[in-house]
Amino acid sequence: MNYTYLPESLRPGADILAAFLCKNYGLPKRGLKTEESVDERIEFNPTFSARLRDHHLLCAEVNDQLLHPTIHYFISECQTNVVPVRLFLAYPKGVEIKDYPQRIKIANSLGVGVIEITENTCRIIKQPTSLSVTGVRPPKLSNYPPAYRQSLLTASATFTNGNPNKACADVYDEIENLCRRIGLRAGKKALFGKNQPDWKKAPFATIVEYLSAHLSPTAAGCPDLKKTLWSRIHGITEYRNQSGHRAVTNSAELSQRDATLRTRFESACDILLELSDASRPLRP
Amino acid sequence: MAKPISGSLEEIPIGLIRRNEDNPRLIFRPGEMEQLLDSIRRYGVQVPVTAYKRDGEYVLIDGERRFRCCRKLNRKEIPAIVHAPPSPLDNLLMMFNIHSLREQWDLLTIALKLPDVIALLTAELGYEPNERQLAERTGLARGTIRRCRLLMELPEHYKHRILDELKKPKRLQRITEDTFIEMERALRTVVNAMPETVDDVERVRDLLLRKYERGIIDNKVEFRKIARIARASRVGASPQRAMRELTRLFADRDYRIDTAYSRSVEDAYTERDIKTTVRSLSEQIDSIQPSDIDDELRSLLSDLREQIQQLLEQRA
Repeated sequence: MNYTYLPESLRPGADILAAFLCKNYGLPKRGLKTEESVDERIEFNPTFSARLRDHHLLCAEVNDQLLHPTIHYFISECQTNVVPVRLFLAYPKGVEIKDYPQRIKIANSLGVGVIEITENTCRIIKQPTSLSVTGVRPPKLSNYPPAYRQSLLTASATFTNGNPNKACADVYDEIENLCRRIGLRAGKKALFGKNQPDWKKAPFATIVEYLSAHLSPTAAGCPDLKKTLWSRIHGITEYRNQSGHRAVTNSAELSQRDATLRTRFESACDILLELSDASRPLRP
Repeated sequence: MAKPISGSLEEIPIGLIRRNEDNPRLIFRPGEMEQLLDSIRRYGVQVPVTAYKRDGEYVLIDGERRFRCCRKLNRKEIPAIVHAPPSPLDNLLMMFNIHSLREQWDLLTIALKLPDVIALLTAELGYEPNERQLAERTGLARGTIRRCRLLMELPEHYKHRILDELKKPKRLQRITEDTFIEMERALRTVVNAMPETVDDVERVRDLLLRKYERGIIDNKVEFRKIARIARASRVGASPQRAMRELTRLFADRDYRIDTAYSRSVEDAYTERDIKTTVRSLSEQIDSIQPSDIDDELRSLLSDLREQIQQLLEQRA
């Protein structure tokens, strides 16, 4: 391997790691790049990088202290620019790492993997998740009614663990259920005429369109249930039934897909909060 | 007299730079590299590297760490002073001059500037930076910052005194930053552990400095013994005796640290050290197989057994 930056003391361990990555990820030897750029926008070249078959970039940074300020910068840039990187932090076995448990905890929270390099092989301590999804803004749970906190926490974890589609669908479920409950409660208060939709079975879009057209914020005592909010909810009905996206064919598409889902997830969480706040007066 | 060498300042492509095989620097410590990496990422390369051009490439004379960091940071160019190709001797001499004559800043000069840095960072962050943040932003090690803080907190006249001392050549410097750092650490321990013995810190500091100047305290490391006396209770020594000795040490201009130490806590520390050594030796002996013992070790162990036997019989 042709290193420039990596201090000489860490190079033998890095060679072992390179062989391990090639073997475990089925990479050709030339597929693993050394200290090369992974994205022109990011001012940091990890020790190793390679393109995986699922279009993620596998990166590994060798360091004797696991974390250092510039690696935090790299992680943050990957998250901000939605670069689909799976990052391993690798350290040689036997070195004294200051605050090791704390550093492992931080690595865990950042979604990066950890590898210990032993004398002739490596041991994966933690698998990484894609940095393009870990950068999602998590919902501030304390702002939500208690009934939603558990499901939002789970959805958030589902998102960062690499299944953003499912996470979005889970939040959409909550929004849809809430819309149906709003219709039922308003119906019981005689706020609608005849020809109401079947609040339990009608399509989501029909429910939203009806509420937008017939629910008077003044009559319902919910001044914030405005048409603009219903329009935003109507906007998500299109994505509601998408169980998955079409397969991506390259890293750029993967990045675009993750960026889109990140926006959708954050937006859905915001809508759920606004809708639950706005419909509070209708609660029994 | 050698002809002075001059060069031009240019932005040169990183991809065309080659390291100098004659670079005397052989060790690139990971921690130091990371500090530099972070500094260059934040503030860029503040000091150009030095190189000469050969066959369309640039060979480094000075700045290999900066070059390595720039490669790592995906930079395309680096500022460089470009010289004409030197002779092999000039190449070596230039590197030795650049590397061996470069000195770190004196600690006090950093300590004197640090309050300004803290004030500016506080304004930027909205709160006072902690030690870690200060280390990250200044590129200083946290240990250096702690040492600087001890100097920062000294009364002004002591800082002037150190500055005057720093103006002297190194070999003539007597009262250095390290003297104050050792003394301050010891005094802090005493003030925490046995505050009754220090009626006036400034007076005690002056007295200890005079003793140091007169050779009553002949080594700055001796100040550590003051802290050990103050922690007498930790090793089971009499705190009353330790307090008496410290009170005398801080009042009597001729009383030595060594004397106070031997009269108060030396035996207790020796005993603790022996116990630690015996426990460690015992563990090591446990791990030895009889087949591992060669003649030399057998003889040493026999001698030790006899010594221990005699000691125990004398006591009995």
